[in-house]
Amino acid sequence: MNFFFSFKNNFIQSRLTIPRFNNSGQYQNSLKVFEAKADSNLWKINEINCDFNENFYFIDESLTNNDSIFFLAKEENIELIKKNNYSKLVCFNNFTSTHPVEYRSNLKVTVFGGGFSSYQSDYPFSMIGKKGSILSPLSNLLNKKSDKNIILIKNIYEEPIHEAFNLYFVDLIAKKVLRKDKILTNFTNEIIVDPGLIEPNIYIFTDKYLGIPIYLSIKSNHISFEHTHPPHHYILSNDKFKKVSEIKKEVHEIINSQSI
Amino acid sequence: MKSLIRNLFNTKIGVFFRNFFEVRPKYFLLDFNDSNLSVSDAFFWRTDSNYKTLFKFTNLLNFFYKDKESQIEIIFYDKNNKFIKKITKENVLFSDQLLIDKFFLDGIEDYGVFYIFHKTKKIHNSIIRNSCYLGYSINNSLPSFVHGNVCVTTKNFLGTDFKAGIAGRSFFKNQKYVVQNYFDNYDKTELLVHNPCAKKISFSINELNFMLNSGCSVIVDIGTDTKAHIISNCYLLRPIVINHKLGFIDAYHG
Repeated sequence: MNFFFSFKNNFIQSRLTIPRFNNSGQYQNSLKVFEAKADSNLWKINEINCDFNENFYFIDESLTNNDSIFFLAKEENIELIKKNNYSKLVCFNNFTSTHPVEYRSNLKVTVFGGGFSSYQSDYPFSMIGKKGSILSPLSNLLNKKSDKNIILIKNIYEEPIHEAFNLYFVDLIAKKVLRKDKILTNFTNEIIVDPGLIEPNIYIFTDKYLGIPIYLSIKSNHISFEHTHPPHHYILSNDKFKKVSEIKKEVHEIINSQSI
Repeated sequence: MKSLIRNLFNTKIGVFFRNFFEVRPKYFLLDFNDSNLSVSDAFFWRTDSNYKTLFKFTNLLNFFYKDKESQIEIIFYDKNNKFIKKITKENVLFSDQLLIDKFFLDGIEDYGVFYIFHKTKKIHNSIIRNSCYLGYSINNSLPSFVHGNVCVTTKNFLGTDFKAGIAGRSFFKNQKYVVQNYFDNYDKTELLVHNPCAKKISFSINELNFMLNSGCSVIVDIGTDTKAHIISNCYLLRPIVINHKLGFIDAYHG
């Protein structure tokens, strides 16, 4: 099962387009869009009354906040979360569990009066119970010469909490932490990046929770919006987790050696 | 007995029948027990119609294996899978970028794909896959980025034993793939399609039929159609989508 999410700020319009068919073209028209939000240590679930046509649901920024997540379900599927008193997200159904290509929505951002950019977006259920760390390069998807460079970090955690955790900007050559921010679980966090940080040797790193880092760059009203893959995506052999954990350990050591 | 069946299942003939009968098909014809192997996605370059393509990549051998002597080789092919040129990059510590325009390609204003391989004399006993980032820029605008998404070619770390077309193919043209987005009110939408299989494939997009030889590429303009239905005999025929409106573009993987 996949969750979907959107983004809201003052100078960008967003639109989330959720297909009513899977990527093989099969429909399940009885599924509706629900929103989940963490509130007072409970998941609040509401059916969303959004625009739709025979193929898609459309959620614009008026229907979302940075703590909203969305999913497709039948009303009876919501009983599953009632059983745990709304204390933990559950797999509501398997319509959006597709293989080998994941079931994706489209998350599109538009600059007022300017360009637009999107990516095929999802947050897999398999990620929401895991803790860990994000390690992602800054320079691959941001541009030093852009007017604005922003990182969005979306975390969805199964428990309905807004817990703060750390985001570090780490120089892997100088072995220094250059910046530290607090970000939240169950939130689309927006981090504005200074051009001076956009260098090949500078990576972002989180210390407790996983998430999806999405990079947004705007120049002269043109916009680019894309996510990076987790590091283990780049190793296909059995040593993938060993290698990734070695690198993350190195970054941990850099962070631990400095009191920020 | 179980291990015998598993071994048979993974032989060349076993994989042929799995893919023929579509029983637990193998999407990539890659032996994951292999080692010292560099796998590349097919990266679609464009220099036609005032496009430039910016490639941003990471030196995976240095990043993961601290191999500072490793090299990066990038090999360019045209849309008919004819070799154009090869470049080698050395001393890339973390990431680097390459601008692909008509000057870089000696005047070629067209499209095709390139592959990136990592080379080293050292033994790392691993398989790495480069699926880094491509940015499409029209009229010198900010590039719209997409990541690589289908493994297509391999070379060993010595830079030899080139294998292309490692994506799996079904016998029948019955693989349906619908891009999960609504092409709402665009001036036009283009689908950038590459054949990642070792043999010719047949496919249709919104009922228009195409044949594409191994390694070849085509840009399909679907105009103002609001959806893209693809039927093919390739398990992972996933195009790059470019939506156009009022001089702005949005590129993403379908």
